[in-house]
Amino acid sequence: MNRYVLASMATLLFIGGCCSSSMKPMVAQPAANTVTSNDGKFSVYWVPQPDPIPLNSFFDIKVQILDLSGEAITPDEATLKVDAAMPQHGHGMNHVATVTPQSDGTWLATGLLMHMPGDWQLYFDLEMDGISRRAQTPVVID
Amino acid sequence: MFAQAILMSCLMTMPPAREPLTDVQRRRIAGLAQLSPPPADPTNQFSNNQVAARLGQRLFFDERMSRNGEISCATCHVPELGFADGLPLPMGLAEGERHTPSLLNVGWHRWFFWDGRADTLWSQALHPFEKDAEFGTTRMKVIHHVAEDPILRREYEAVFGPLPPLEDETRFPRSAQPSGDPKHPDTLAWQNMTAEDQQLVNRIFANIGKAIAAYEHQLNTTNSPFDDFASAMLANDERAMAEYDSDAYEGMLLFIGEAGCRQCHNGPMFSDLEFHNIGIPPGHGGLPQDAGRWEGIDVLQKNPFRANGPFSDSPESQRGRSTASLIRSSEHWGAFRTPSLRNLNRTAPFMHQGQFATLKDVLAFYNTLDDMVVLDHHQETVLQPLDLDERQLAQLETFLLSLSSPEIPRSLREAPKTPELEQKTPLTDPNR
Repeated sequence: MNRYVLASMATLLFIGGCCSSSMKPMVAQPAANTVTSNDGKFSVYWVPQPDPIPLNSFFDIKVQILDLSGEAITPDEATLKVDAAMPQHGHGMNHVATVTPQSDGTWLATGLLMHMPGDWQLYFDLEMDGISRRAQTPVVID
Repeated sequence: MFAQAILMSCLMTMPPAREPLTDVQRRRIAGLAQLSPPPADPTNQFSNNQVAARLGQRLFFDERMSRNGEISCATCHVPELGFADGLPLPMGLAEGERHTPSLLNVGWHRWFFWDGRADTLWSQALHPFEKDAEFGTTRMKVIHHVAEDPILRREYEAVFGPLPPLEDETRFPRSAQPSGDPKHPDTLAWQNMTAEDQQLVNRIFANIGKAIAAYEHQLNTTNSPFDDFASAMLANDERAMAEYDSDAYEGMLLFIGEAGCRQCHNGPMFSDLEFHNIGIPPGHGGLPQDAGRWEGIDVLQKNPFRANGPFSDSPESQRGRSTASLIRSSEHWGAFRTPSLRNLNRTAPFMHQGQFATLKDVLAFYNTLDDMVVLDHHQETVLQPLDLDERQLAQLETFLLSLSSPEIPRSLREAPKTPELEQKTPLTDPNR
């Protein structure tokens, strides 16, 4: 099964597997775009829109975060920032992404733009109970 | 025997057979090809308005708006020189600080000027009027000029609606502008105007920029030999692909491959439309003093004529949001916009101060990085000498020159018809 199919499945899970803001969303199954935080405390499921991420065009990312027990961490409990950088080049993106809580307990990051081909790192910084934790994943743009 | 000799002769003069392009190569080539007309600018609802474009074209070639009556946009953006000027640094009323960029395909850009201090074409068009080294005039003088010229006024009002009573000089002085010098007569005159009248003047000034932008939006080149090759590739037309110059073909493979040029020169404009510091030594020697994008962001975000500002026709558009979300960090110090590589055959010299007279000079710099200025301001740390041999450099140059297109139509390279003729032409404005 290729990554596009997996990503599409993840999208469907985001769309179909979540419920109202007053309820904890259902848990998505692991998909192609999954990354565990650097301290191992949470997992990030992310789906870029469009997929794959385009070179030098704006794109969005839909994000769902799960704790160790597999329960969703929602925007009611935590704040999320999404950013990206090219560590080998010593620079990041030229824009700050806007992260908006969604009524289904996920987040939508908009206004991301990777203007160069090459090796990027995508960062998800989750602030909860006064502590900021990071999940990061490589992204290759060509 | 004779036939065999002919066959041998043919084989010896034929270029070596080309390896089939890989999927990655094909995708990269497709990503560079087919520059279509630029999309409409949502912050300028008149960007595709033909009457606005005609007014803008008239203003573009109009020298009467400058302080000495001898400078127009076309003074530095010379149509016969690819809408650049052929000089390292421009010469308006005085010498400028950065090289004049070409206006060909300018509607595709995301940011304008080498430092991106304008985020729309219409906003860019307003900057030179009030710069001492360029037009040396004021927005109030520009507006009076439009109001007092019957042809300009007629076209302006056909597109943007009636002008206010500008003949009332108690409300609208002959010359006024907001500027950094609070004691300057033009500044004092501006401060004596009511806020409502200042807003009116700024709106008219913005409209003048939008008309000029509508004209510049049309300065688009058609297919280059490279685009023809790419079209053939996408159509799987091997015969047409074979017509592409062999050296250009090899240069293209270097460009999308080991030379790494597409790191910054990607997309149909052969530019990522963003900003990089590649350590080019300043034109006048010494250490770099020009903050480039670092200062450009600051100027942009203070400018009322920005994409998310009060004179934009769509502040919430992607273009407006793009300006609102800009990050300004130390890595932007000394960074300049990646220039397009199209039409290099008529836009020399090159770089932000015209430091390199020829394309060969540019390639020689990248090949060795000799004289590169390394400051601790986060230059592109991945930039390494290309270390290509002479043949490869020549192939790369041939490829770059194959990105040159035929001239745009003559009707766009000169001022519109004479006013006498023009008066007989009915004005039609689809937006009104």
